[in-house]
Amino acid sequence: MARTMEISPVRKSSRPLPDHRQDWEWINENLDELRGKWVMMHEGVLVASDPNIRQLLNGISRDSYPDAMITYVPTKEEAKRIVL
Amino acid sequence: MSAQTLSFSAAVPYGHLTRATRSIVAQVRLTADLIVEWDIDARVDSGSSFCVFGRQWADLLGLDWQRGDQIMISTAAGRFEARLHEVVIKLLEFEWTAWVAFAEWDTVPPSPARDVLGLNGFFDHFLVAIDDIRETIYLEPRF
Repeated sequence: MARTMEISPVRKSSRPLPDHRQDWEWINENLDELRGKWVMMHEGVLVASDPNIRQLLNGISRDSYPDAMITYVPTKEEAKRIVL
Repeated sequence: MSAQTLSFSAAVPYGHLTRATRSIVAQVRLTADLIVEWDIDARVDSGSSFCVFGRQWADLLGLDWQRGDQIMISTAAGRFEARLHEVVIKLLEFEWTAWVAFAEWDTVPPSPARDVLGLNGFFDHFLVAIDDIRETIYLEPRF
């Protein structure tokens, strides 16, 4: 598909994204318990996990965790799949 | 053949994001109104014409999925519908506005929809180099 939309320039953000490295360290240390689930992490602490993303976020106030990150941890079977 | 030299001002390590599965991933923040923001990880995929995200993100960003321009996305496994919406994407200290596609499905396995940074919306905003051995993406923004 040809590019058809005007491209806006990249800007320097007033506030860089938070470093989620400690969130990922915790996830990587607990992979087996988290597989098949969506995970919400905030400052290195697990906020919630659930196989259903909408369930995960149900009842969670975004304002309470302004720098939270969300990721899906695939099952071992899903991780082995070849993805196009 | 003449040598070409490119320079990059930012490096995005992704090894820590890919312990669960093999992929090239960047952590980005999505927002539509600059109030509600979500930090998610998205695959970097130059084979994708557009940035594509699961429908749940459109809902969570407060976008009315139905109101976006309709497009059909073809993949090796078939076609799916998506809607284009304008969002702000943030990565490291950079941010940019882009039209991205939100799939008709949530990004839930085994849905073919995945969260992807593709040509329109990402590769057209940065010079990109990927060193997969060192698990690092190098970026030079197009200011």
